[in-house]
Amino acid sequence: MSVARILAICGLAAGLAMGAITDTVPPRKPITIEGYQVLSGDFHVHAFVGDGGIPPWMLQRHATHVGLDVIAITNHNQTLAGRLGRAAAQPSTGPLVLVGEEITGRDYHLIGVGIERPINWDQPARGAIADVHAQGGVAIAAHPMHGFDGYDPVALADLDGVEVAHRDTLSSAMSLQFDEFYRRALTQNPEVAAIGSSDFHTSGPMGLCRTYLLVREPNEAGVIQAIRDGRTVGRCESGRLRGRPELVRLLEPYRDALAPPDESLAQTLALLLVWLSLVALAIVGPRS
Amino acid sequence: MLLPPDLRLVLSPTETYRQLIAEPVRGTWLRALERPALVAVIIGTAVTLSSARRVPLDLVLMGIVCWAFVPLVQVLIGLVVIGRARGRPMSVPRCVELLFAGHLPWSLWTLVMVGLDTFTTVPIPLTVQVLSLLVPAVWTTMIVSAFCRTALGCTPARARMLTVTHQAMTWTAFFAYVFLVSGFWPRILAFVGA
Repeated sequence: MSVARILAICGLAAGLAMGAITDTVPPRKPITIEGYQVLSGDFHVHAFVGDGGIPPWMLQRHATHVGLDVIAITNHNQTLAGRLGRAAAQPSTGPLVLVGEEITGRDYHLIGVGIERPINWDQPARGAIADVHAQGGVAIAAHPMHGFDGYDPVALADLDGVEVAHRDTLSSAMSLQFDEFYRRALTQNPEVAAIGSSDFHTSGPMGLCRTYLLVREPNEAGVIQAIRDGRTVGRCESGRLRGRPELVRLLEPYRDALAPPDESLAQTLALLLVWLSLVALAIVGPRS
Repeated sequence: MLLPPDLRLVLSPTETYRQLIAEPVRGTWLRALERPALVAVIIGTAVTLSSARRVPLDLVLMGIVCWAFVPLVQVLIGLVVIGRARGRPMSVPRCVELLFAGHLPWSLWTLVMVGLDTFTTVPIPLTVQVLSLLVPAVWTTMIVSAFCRTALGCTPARARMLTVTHQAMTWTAFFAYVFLVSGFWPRILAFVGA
């Protein structure tokens, strides 16, 4: 075995060991405001098999590591991944895992959370929203920039939430489109929930953009009710809070406490070591 | 200094394949599956790294197991192509081993994309990502063509046919997966304005 191959394998092993040692759960203090508990959620998470990178049964533990209290697994036009994720989750010890779907229609993408069965995508947004409500779930407009904003005024009025913070809003041009859609939705439903979602596929981190919810009870019913009542604020990274001004004012003092956990230098070095070792292994191959 | 065969193959496929088939190696299945296993490790670890930004062992191992279907499908496609080459001079395991020796363009593409995404803040537009697929696609086509000519001992016309078959099956499998998992049909309908 060549020296380069031995070095690559040792580098990979060292990177993985370093990754394991530095893989800690960030400390978090529960926050309560005016009788409401504040939860951090990500309601737009894709899983493997689907176009997500992590299998659903590993997502609850992963959510713990990125400081989330609740996630919804929302693969395209199916709820199987969500149901698998929920079945594997341990509700007593970890974040809540909700069943969801990204209903991928022709001119809209709609997140249904708190549903069981897949929703027919081949219908206008208004029908899909009604079907989500019929199953007791909430309907959230997903990344409603141009091309995904096919909601008529009735559909806008029926929406429970709108993604106002999303990885695409990190670009200012896209951000304007999200803001414009949110304003349109507010004119039809002043209590529509402001949602922050990472739209997590294979590019992390999950919870990059997240929703802060003011819940009466930290369970599925409490989360769904908070979205339905619009008691939410969205945010990307450590950026500004987006949502109804009175809720933003309430959460503003807790900005730092609620921010997603930072990646430590040791964690970054572990990732870099693993990546460099993989590049070396790919080049040297398994044999001379 | 002699470069590793995987690297020599991307630089000079035909010449390297000639050298490799001249080596007195007895092909075994264990040996043949070493590179598919390496590809599974590369894809599974890279996807986990990029998705989770964490590399705990359980998550990495699960990633490798889940994404192992990619090299597995490639092995099956390879077996179809190798099976279509009548009168090949080598055993099937040795042919699989040599075919997988050309993994580097796709492995490096995967790792470069993951590296850019994980360690830089440079946004890579989807168009650029899609266009960048052309590089490993063309490169791999050249390697597979050289494999068919030299390792399988095909005539130029037969090698072209088998290369097209290999690439057609690969891309069909790719699009079938994308179609199934990403709600592709509504997107196509939206694209054509239906």
